[in-house]
Amino acid sequence: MSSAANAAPPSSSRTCGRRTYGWGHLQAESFKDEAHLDAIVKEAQEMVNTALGLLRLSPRARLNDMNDHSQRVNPPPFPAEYRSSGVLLHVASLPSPYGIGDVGPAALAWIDRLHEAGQSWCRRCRWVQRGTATPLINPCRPSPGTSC
Amino acid sequence: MDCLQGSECKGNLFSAVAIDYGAVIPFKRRILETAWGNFCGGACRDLRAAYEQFCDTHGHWLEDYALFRALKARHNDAYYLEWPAEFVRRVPAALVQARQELADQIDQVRFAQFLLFRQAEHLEEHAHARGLRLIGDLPFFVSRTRATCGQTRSYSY
Repeated sequence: MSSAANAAPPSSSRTCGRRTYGWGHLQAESFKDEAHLDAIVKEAQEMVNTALGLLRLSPRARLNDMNDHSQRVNPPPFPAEYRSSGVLLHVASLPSPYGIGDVGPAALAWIDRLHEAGQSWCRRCRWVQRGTATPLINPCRPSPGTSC
Repeated sequence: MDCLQGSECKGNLFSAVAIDYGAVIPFKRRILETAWGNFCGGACRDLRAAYEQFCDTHGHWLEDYALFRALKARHNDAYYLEWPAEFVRRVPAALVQARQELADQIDQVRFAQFLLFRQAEHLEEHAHARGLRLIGDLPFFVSRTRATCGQTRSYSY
């Protein structure tokens, strides 16, 4: 059994590349080709430019932006006046008939419940496949990984 | 036809209050294997194009990750520095051969990642539509048991 994708040759991903600028350099560790590296660098530059642009906004304008949930959240630092709350719950701790919480219907219902309770944030812990059987002691500080 | 039938997910009665990893891990592996078998057998054809697109878009990390996971499984989950030297040193010819021998296991890892990304993206859209924002989590230290460490050895000593 083998998919069509498997017929493709193994990825020729490079593991290190660098773009140098007047102000320093950006380094990427995993990318497909030069065009992909350029895209990564462009995205990083846009993030920096966005953050710099936001810092020039007045605190009031930043606060209005933060409270407008229809748009993408601004990166920190958040305005001093910004207040909101959220809940940290590991996805593995959600109820499930299959032995462990997952990103299925219970996770969607959990989001709905947070919304009803007026929450703004939900921390998404790492979703990493677990290699060894270890009891869940502290759901959000797992080591070395977390089941999903 | 779905990738899994309800009856294919039955067979285990799990505790509602505690996670029994020793039982859950083989159970989940089994149903992922079944889903992959069904997918290869023509189930959920509408996902085929999305799956191939996913493998293409994420190939730059997915290929190495899937090979790492398949090799780890083949070596009974041993720490990668305890694998045969040609895999520790990532000798190209050994990796090419392993990719051929473990092709089916590698495909299954890709497929499981495809399903997880699909569900996670749906969850994210669901949250954003309700004004909820998700806070991500990036580990400070790269675990030595992870694929990233094996691929970027020049940074890992």
